[in-house]
Amino acid sequence: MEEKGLNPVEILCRKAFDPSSARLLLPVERPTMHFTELPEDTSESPLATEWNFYRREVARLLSEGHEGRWVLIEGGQIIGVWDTENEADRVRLQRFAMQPVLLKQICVREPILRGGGYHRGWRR
Amino acid sequence: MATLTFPIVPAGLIVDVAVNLEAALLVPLRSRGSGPSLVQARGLIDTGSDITAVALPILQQLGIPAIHKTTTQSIGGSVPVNLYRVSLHLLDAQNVGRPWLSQPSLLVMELARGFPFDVLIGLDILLTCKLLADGPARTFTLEF
Repeated sequence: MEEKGLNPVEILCRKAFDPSSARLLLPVERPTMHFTELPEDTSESPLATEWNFYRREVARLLSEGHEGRWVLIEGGQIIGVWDTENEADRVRLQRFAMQPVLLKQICVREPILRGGGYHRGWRR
Repeated sequence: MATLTFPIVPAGLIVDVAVNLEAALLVPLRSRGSGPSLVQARGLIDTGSDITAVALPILQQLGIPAIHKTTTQSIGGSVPVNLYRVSLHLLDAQNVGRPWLSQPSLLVMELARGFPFDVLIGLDILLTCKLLADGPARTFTLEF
């Protein structure tokens, strides 16, 4: 290691650094949650009804072998289940173009998306 | 390669954004001479976000319905959040003749209330381009 030009603190830290232990700290998988842990939507927001209906139905859909397929839900009713998002989305655009409907992949483990500013305490 | 270059300002990496209906809805409406006008907004680049987010008033102004719901991590734990499909463009409002980084059909999250920008640009868009930050020059460039 060429130490010329490095500041003394960096030289000390480089000598103390253990790459093998550092890698253990890095999460590599996107966090997920099991379908039984999906939070209830207690808001009055669009799709709250559909989301809570999905929470009640997802165990049955999985037991019927629909894992990975796409379900379209309006209110408390399943419109259909398709193999691909494109197929389900085509039906959404044809029948429900400008109204809220839940288009959802049926998953055992639900990805938890980072973003939207929800994990931060923003102030204007 | 097309590029868009912006100054790095104290608020962060800020870009000009235009939002409208997803292409599959907008194009047929435009061919009939109708459909909403695009909404101009300010966006913050956020490499800590998996997904781009748009403020609810913009989505409501355009009449875009929620079509997905997922979970995200909030300060108080996991919460369900609505997702919407939009068309979204990054542009230089000072020079609109320059290329736009366009997403004709992008799934976006509803932005948390109180967030001090209209749009949060996440990795879903950033992974379609190169983001080059020149710290000493206080500029950043999107190359696509």
